[in-house]
Amino acid sequence: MTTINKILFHSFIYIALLSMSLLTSCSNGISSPNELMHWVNNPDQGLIKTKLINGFKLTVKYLPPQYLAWQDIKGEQYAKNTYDSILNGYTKFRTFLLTIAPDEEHSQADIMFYDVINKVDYKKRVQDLNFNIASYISLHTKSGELFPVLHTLENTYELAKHKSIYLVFADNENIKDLLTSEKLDFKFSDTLFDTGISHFVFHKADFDTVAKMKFELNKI
Amino acid sequence: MGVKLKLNKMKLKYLVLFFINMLVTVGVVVLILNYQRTKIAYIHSQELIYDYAGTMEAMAEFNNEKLKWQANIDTLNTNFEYNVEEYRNEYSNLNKIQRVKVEKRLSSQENQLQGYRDAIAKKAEEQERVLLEGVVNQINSFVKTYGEENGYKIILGTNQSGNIMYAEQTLDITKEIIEAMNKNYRGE
Repeated sequence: MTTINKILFHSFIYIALLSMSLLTSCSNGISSPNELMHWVNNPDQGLIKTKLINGFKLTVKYLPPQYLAWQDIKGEQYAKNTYDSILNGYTKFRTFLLTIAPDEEHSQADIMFYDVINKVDYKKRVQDLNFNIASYISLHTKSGELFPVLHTLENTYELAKHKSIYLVFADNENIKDLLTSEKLDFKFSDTLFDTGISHFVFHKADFDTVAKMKFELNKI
Repeated sequence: MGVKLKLNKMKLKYLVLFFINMLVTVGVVVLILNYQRTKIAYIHSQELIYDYAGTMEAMAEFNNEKLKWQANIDTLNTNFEYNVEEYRNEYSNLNKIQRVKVEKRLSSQENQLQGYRDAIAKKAEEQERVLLEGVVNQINSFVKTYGEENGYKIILGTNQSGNIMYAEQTLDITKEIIEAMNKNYRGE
């Protein structure tokens, strides 16, 4: 092999590798729900927001409709149109996951026991997190304030130190721009953990990016 | 030969002096750099609290709640005053038994009103405490993170009682910390 041939050969390999890496980075590259959530969990995508206050780590994460639809049908054999139908239902709402965890650097204690000194306090904490949490949370669109239409506390059976709450928002009679508002301000007015009022702002452009992602049903 | 040896000795002496000088200079430079790395700043605590967007929102919410409670008290008070006025107008037409009965009812209503006022005052005090505690916790957590991220060894807080007697103006980071804190508060 002459020197010129060697240079040409190396150049070809280099261009081929460069093209491959460019093609990979340009595509969405999401092939499974787990990969999708891995993508959502990257703060750079704007779909997960965190604040550290008073020894707590407050995290608000947007849950994409594709992921929620997958959660509904996982482990079951469904036709594609069933999946699409479920997915269509979820696209009418915005679902968020609020996680209240100890800020590992400052505290290792289970959040359930913060400011709890007796059984009555503990009962109230359980009651508040299970049934009253929606009264501390709202979502501000361009035209007004929406409250959760559905909320549920994830049961961790005391195996974890954090608590997660699923919150679903929908349009109502007066506010119709949940899906079209350019900005959504998730507001948590906390009086349980002394973290005060926290705002977590999400952008429609980030929701739209994730909405375009699709994964194959056979990989679900 | 003797002159040459003398010259060599002098050269050695200068060389040793030069090295000592070099070592001292390097030592001083290292000390200065180390000193500069110890970043210290101070903030005006009260300004920080009052100009923080979190305080403003918390206070606005608290005042709105207070207005609602006050409206309830006003309604109950108006109702009570109306009943008292009505009793005064009817006084001459009522017999002793009827007067005792109405006065008992009015007294009970007044007690209930006072009880409600006290409960609201207690609730307002508690809510204000919770809201302000949240604000103070947010400020403390933010200043700590800000200090760590920006390499400060110490951030002092000044207040009216004057725990800092003098500090250079350049060490005052109140404005930049308020700006950063408000941006963080907005959650953008």
